[in-house]
Amino acid sequence: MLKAAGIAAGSVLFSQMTVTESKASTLKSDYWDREFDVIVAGSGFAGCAAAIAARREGASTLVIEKMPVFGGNSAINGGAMAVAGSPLQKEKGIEDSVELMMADMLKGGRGTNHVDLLRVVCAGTAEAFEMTKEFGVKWKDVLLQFGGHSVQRTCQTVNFTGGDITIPLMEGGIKLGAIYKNRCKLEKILTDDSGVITGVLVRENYDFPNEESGVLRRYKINRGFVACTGGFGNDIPFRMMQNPTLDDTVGCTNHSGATSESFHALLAVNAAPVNTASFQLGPWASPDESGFGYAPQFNQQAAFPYGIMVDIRDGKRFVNENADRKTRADAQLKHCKDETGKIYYPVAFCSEPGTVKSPTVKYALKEGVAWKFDSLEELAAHFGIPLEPLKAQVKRFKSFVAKGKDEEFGKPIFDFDRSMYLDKPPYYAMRAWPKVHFCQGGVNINTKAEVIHMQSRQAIPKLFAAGEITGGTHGESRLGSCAIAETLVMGTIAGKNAALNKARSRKGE
Amino acid sequence: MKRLTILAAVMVLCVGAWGVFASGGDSQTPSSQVGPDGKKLDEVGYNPSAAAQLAESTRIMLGERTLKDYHKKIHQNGNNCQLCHSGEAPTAPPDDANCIRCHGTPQQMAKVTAKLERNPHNAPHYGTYVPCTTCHKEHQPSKVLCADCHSFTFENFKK
Repeated sequence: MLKAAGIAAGSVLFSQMTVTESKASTLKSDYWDREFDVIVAGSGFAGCAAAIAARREGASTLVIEKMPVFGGNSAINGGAMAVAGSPLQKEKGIEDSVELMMADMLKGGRGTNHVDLLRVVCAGTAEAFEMTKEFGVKWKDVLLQFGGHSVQRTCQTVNFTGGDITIPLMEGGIKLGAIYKNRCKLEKILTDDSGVITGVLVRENYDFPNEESGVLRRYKINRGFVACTGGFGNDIPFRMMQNPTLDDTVGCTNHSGATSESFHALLAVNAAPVNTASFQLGPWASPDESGFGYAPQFNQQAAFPYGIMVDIRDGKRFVNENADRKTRADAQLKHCKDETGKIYYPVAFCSEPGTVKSPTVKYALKEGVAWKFDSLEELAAHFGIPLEPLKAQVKRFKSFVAKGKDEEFGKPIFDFDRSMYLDKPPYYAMRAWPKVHFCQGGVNINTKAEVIHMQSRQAIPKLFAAGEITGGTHGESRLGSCAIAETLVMGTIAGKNAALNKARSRKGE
Repeated sequence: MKRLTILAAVMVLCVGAWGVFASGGDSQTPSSQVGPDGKKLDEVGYNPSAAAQLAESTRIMLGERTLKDYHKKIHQNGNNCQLCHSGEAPTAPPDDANCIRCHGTPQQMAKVTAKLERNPHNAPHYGTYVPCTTCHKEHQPSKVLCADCHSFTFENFKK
């Protein structure tokens, strides 16, 4: 073949013929470029867990990742995982249960969670946590209590990032025989005449976000396709279609590949959508840096609990700075825009003792995300806040701290932390503005991670999904550190069931 | 369709230049080999004439490509696409293997930058698994992946 091509080199006519031929073969329905038992799309927490589970059931497994780097949004996640009944909890004498974790998540989700999925996720966290340790994931010896959780149940990886999990799980999957292929994008889920899934159309050598890059290939799937393709929070046109208020002035904490194409591919084979307009906004983000950055840690651990957030136009507070994510973000979007849509980024600030729990403040200062001021006058002048109302607001807040009760917005004031509240200069300040953080919605799955058909309401044969691409588990609003829990538990279930799908897919043939 | 035709021409030229060399079977004396156009191949099987045609076709197809000064010498001022893109049509980012030949493995690069406050070649999010061309671009301005979320910069990073 090489020789023949060599002889014909330069002949445009010949090359035209070869293109026509190869194009025809690519589109022919009985031609396959490659064949696998299980193909997993996406290499985040769910995809890595699915690949391991599928290999353990003996299925030949391919993981495709559209980005040049593996790990998806999981790689830049904060590395915090809620576990009900972890060894660390037992060691520290903390009583926790699957039921208690479910109750917390239901409250956060405002009761709209799919309870059957929620139960499977919470019941699977302890086992999933052990699985990560088996593959060498290193956890810190501390437990945290994130907002909305009623006990300390959140474990944290050593470097505060999801990369601490995705890297060892990917290496573990590869050791077990899974193949990981980057720059390979899911274009379409292929079906035969009767609608049964036969494989996937992918774009190899994809150069995100150039949709014309690379070449199309057809991969055959014998047992199951597992969609672990994550959320679409960074897909602004699609996001605005669901919720027009989330335009490009609203940032996003997600990686650039968090787009919606795989969701469209799933809808095209009749996957039932759930809650697609429900996006969780992180109220602790900063407009002065892109993506997740350093601001969330500073605001969550310093300015919001121990200081105040004010509207720069009148120097007044407008929300309980420690309410749940949805309440705070809704308030920012409502209060800090004028009729023309102009945004006045609110400013959150605290005194120096308030910053002791925020290890990243030094980076935030260095990189121009946070500022340090020696007086309220300086702070007010920098942000253009009217000074007298600001002074009055600070005075009011100090009196609430003294009383132990926030009479304006009901923020909890803890006696044992009294020394950390807003008091004397210097002040540490940053601007706070919500960013799209998590897609509550996605496709509907059952407890076996099978994707549900929107008309028949039955499982679609050979189609599985796990992680942020699915909806329902977290209802209206997800609690912090429950994403890793969900993705690892459901990813494992999806990969295992796809691999065990052998009998049924044969019967279907 | 016109673009496809040119793409095909480029691909055939690539395969052609590579194919002759590969099927020649005697890589010890490449200087005696001739390319499809009857012209001689040089020591590394690189046919300057075919390569120039390829580069020209690519320019027609993709438009003028920018080039980085520090690489101009080794890819003959943009006339040797194969150097980085191998036998493939130069429409996709090249394989790391071609960078590694000169620059060393990702693990070796991680050691070179190990003393930086943040090691771009061994980041906590991705370890040593980031393909070179994720950040280092030849035909467009280079940009570190870290900058998607972080504002820190790398002083010696060539744009």
